[in-house]
Parts: sequence; structure tokens; C-alpha cells
Amino acid sequence: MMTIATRKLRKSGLTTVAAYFVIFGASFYANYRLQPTGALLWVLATLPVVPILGVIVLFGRYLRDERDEYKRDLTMRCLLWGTAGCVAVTMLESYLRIYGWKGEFPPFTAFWAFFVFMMAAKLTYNAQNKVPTDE
Amino acid sequence: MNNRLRVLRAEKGWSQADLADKLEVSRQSVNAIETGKYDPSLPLAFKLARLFERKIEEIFEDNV
Repeated sequence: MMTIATRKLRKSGLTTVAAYFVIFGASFYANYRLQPTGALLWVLATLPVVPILGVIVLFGRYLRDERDEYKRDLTMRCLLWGTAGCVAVTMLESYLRIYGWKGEFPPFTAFWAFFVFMMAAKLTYNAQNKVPTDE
Repeated sequence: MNNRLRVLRAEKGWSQADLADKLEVSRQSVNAIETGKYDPSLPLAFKLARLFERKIEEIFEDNV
């Protein structure tokens, strides 16, 4: 059973992700055409970040609105796993650089780590909490 | 924390879904509480106590 808060999160989440792709596309195209430097470069790079932060805000609203405390608890755990993945990758890259590594991770590695860790946690919790046939 | 939720629910003849509806939570939550995977908050424990007309300590048993 999907709660009202979950339905709201899915609906607004899909809209925000769609907005992300539109904004990212526009920002990428503008960067390609204009080859900006200075303030405009910063603005173009900041634009796709806004909907990503929007998704975090949506999760915050979900946690506020969700009346099922167990589901809230599971969501918090998934978000923490995601954060752990993101922090781990960021810290690993930083230490590698401190220790003299000259390379760098591909763009968005930390973001993907967040996503992969969060989804892995969600799938694990879903498998662990599969409810048996009702008695 | 151990609990007698499954027994009390059976006495009332309610399914997990019935109890979930009455508590306004998911069936997943009821199952997690019954199997001891999750300990409910105090407000939810009071809600359960009111629903079964029992004291909280008659439903939940501290393992200490």
C-alpha cells in the first residue's frame, strides 16, 4: 500500500527529475554554444544543481508528511546509506590526491555513489521486509 | 523488545491489514512490529494500547 506522502513524493519527484533533464540540457547547450567564462559559467554550472537540491527538499517534505513511522525510518536509513556512499567516494578521492595521485574520478562519481548506495539499501530493506500472506 | 501483538490481534480476529488500517500505518509496519524488527514509538505504542484496551506493558515486554 502506497501512503499519501509516498504518492506525493513520487509525483513531485518525477516532475523534478524531468525538470533536471530539461535544465541540464539547456545548460549544456548554452555552455557548448557560448563557451562562457566568469560569472556566466558559474550560473550555467549552478542551474542543474537546483533541481537536485529540489529532490532533497522533496525528501525532507516526505519525512515531515509521512505518518507511517516505520516507512519514515526506512527512508532515513536509505538516505544515510546514500550519504555514506557519497562521503566515502569524496573522501577516498581526496586522500588519493593528498597521497600524490594525479588522476581524478569521472564527473558525478559521488552522485552515482549516493544513488547506488541508496537504491541498494532500499532493495535490501524491501527484501528483508517482504510481508507474508495476510492471516 | 518482545510483544504479544500477534496473539492480541488473533484474539480480535483481525488480519494484519485490518490492524494496519486502524493504526493508519502500512501492513509492512505491523509485520515489522510483530516480528520484533521494529520497536514502535511511544505515540504508536499508546495507540496500540488504546486499540486493544490494554496497558503498554501488557503488550510489550522489555528484554532487560
